[in-house]
Amino acid sequence: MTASVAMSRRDQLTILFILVAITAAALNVMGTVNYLRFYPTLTKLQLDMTSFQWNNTGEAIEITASFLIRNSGNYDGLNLKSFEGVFNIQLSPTVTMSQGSIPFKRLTGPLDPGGTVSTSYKFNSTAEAARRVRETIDSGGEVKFIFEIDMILLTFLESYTGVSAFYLCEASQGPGTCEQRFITLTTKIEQGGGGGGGGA
Amino acid sequence: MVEARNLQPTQLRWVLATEKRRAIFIVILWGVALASIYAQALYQRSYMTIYDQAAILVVCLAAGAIMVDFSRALLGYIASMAIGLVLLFLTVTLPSTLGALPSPADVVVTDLWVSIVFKAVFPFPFVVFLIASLIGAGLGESYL
Repeated sequence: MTASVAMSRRDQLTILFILVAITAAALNVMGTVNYLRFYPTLTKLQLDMTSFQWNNTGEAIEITASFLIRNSGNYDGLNLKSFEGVFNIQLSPTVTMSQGSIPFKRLTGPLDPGGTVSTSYKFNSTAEAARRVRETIDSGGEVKFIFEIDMILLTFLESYTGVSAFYLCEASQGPGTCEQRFITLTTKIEQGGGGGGGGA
Repeated sequence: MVEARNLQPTQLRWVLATEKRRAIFIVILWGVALASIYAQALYQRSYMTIYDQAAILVVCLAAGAIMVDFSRALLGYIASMAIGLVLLFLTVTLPSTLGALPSPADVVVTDLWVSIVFKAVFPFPFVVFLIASLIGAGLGESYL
């Protein structure tokens, strides 16, 4: 004849603790795997200039440009905070006219794995630029429109550092090409002011 | 004749056989649990919410209760914190360690995580969780 000896309360708590600890560790594996995808995903963020058109009216160059942002990586938890940039007109390899910032537009949205965010802009250049562009084309030269885009991201590091990706886009007519130049981590100092981060 | 049959499986009986063995096993798992809770919080938002702090508090209470002895709970807490922080730091700096980040980004990221982890753990949470472990030891002594 056998009788079962019940476990002491301490042993029961020990078993419960073991189970909870192992479960916590197992659940954390997925979070860790996702985190390890964070940095590679930043470098895989794609910016495409899906369309670009310009029309020189003589008084200004009317520009229409569309951009598409795509998360080609597999990190989950990335968001777009802001899309800013400046554009320049390259008249020759040595002459570039700065045209200032592209119009501000509140552009935010999640960048899930494979997800996209799109935007388009319509703006004019200066009258001086319209004149110089006409002169360049009349003399057989080629004009290039260059966009320096700063894509500011909202990440889990937001409390400590801002993350942004810098792109250089070039176009003449039709869809342009964009290339990621670097990633910036801007650490936030509590006393005020900013710190520079590392580029990748 | 009545034979007493212990309900514990063999592996668990081995762990619980001596106090020292139990303590070592619990401290290691304590460290793993701390690292896991910190990691899941810091991966999502780089700071601890009240719920994350509460989870760690409960873990420390339970571990302290299992330890029963005050001095063992104190030493166990310090050891588990050390284990947990080492595990946590190794995990978060893995991209830097494996060379997935170019210089100087690897240095920036490492420094950043030192700051994040330090701020999440010290000074008040560390003291509060220590007190929780000792309270747990007292509760364990009384009720377990």
